[in-house]
Amino acid sequence: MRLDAVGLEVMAHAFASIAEEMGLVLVHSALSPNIRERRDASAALFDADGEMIAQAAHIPVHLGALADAVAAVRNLEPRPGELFLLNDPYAGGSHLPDLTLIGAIDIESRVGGYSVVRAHHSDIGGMTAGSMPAGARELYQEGLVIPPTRFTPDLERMVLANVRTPAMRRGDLAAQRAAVERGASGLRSLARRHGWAALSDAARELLDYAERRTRALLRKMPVKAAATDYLEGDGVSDDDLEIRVNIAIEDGIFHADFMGTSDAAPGNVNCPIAVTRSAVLFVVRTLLPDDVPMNGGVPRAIKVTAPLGCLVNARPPRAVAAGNVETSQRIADTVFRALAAGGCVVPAQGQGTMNNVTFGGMGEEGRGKGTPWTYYETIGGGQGASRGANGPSGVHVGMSNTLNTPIEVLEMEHPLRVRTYALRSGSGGAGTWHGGEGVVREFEALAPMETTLLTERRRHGPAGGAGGLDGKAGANLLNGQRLASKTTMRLVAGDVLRIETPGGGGWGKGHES
Amino acid sequence: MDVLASLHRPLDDLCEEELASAFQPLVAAAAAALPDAGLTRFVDCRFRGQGYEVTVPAPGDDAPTLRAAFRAAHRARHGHGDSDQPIEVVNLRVVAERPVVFPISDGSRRGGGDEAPKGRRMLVTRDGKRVRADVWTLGGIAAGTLINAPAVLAGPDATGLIEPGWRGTVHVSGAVILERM
Repeated sequence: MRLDAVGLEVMAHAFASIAEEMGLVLVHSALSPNIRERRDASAALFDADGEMIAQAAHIPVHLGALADAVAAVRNLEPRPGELFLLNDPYAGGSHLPDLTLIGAIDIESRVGGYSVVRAHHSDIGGMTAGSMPAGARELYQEGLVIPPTRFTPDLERMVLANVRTPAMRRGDLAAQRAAVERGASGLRSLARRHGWAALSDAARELLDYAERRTRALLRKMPVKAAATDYLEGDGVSDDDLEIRVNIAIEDGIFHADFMGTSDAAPGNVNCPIAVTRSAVLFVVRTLLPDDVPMNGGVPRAIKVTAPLGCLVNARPPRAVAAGNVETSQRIADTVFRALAAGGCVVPAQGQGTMNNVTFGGMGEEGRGKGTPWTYYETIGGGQGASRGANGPSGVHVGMSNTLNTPIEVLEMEHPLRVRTYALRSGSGGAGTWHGGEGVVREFEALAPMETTLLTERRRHGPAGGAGGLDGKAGANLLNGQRLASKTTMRLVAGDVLRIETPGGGGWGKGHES
Repeated sequence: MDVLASLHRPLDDLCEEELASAFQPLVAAAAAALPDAGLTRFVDCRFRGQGYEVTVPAPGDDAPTLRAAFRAAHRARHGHGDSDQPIEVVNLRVVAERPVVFPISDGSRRGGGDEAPKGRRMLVTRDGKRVRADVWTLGGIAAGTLINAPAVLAGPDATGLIEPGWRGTVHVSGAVILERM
């Protein structure tokens, strides 16, 4: 069946609405604030060959890496109706808290596709509450590693025995499973309505169409350029780590090569290649017109290479918790910077960090008497200005796309009080168009607890573009004393942790006149 | 209409008399606000820890029936309902319903609505032209009236625009049927 433009559009939305519905089932019935309020989760449908048919507009760093998760499951020769769980960053995962549940969709007794939901669980065991430790040197310290495995009640019991908050995890996993099943039943009912052959033809045509559109755009913009940017330490040492990219856009293919990037770090800023691919895909996606469907056809026009064992193509058992959330941001920044060097008009840099904050403790009783709790959030900041627009303030930039946890929810669920939550006035870089403002968020501990910060751009502010000024670097303070960008520490009741997030870079020289 | 009050309590802690007496003021308020209406009671419930509620009918006051109704409704909406998290009541809700005679134009009785536009206004069409458009009150136009473009249909909850190249005819239900000319 050959679809006309209207038919193609209708089918693209039919697939996307299933993915959206999967996401709604998850957030409406999950328990943890990180999933239900911040929506740190993503849903997508894949075809039987492992290419993404549709996604819900969730988290870029998840979405671009899900194809690797499906590929890892396909290696296990799934049978129709089987369900798989994984988080192993070196076998389809990203970092350990991201638990990915994948259903092999049973259509006419064959695997007709895959229903995939990735959600960030606020604990998966390991050396610190919340499983986002600063200073981890091995993957094993970051939590329980789950290779692609059939999701059985036994596996669930095993997982729950290794986490600090089993009841919350069980509730979140039940919601995640229901979301996967909603995806499967959605695709089945679409198949009943249109016939399976017509449906799979439509999916294939949509993939081809997205690929054609991507290649057509890339053919119009030949670029050969290189750029470098830096991470500010790995949680073990404070030294800058170099990310180097050479991009070549030729014959409709976007090739990003990371030769020259630092070797994998002792700390946990390393990325599996799936995360690196995801960051490059994000940049390419921003070049495409809105009406190009986001599916597995887009990455067909992208090639990512990196030396084995470097920071952005790490090997086990390197630690990776911050690679997914911080290094992914810097990879996107570096690729944008290369595009700018190649003559493309790109926005100034945004905050370039997710400002990861993790808390956890044993409840207000302490000494093992209370109920263990863990909490994770990321904080928005300034987006870079672009030609023709100021950067928005207090938003997530780049590879993240989460909401915030409302103060009421945070204070009701955990022994924390939010003392300040405000825009950080004056942090955006000046220019013809201004960079967005960062955010100030102050937490007061109401009980003893452990906290981890994984942050970036505390030393090098986000760069301005086309002569605009840099955004102000962020800062982390404990009771007024400056902290490192990546640190794990214990708090006592009354301690105040203040996070000031970076402002976005300005665009254009207008500030000089 | 809905009359709503928050009552945030574990379902297990709620005895029958308590639920009945908590509903009492809502029932009274709904009955007073909409006389002769049928009243239906609902509770908004969730598993502890969730951020969203599922609304279930609460014809009686006993917790086991509510618990079963909530699990069934949760399963129907979200695909799972066997959580061992405690169930919480979050809101009580009384819905008052009364049939209304919708004020639609009657085709058999011309003059039951407007036969001429309420006014005219300038607008800029998508291709940048400035044109004068008739403004009609949507829902109050006599059946059978022809509406020529450009025209604005000003409804109580939305505004419609009939662009040049289209024409509308008002149906007996009050709906405007648009056809390309």
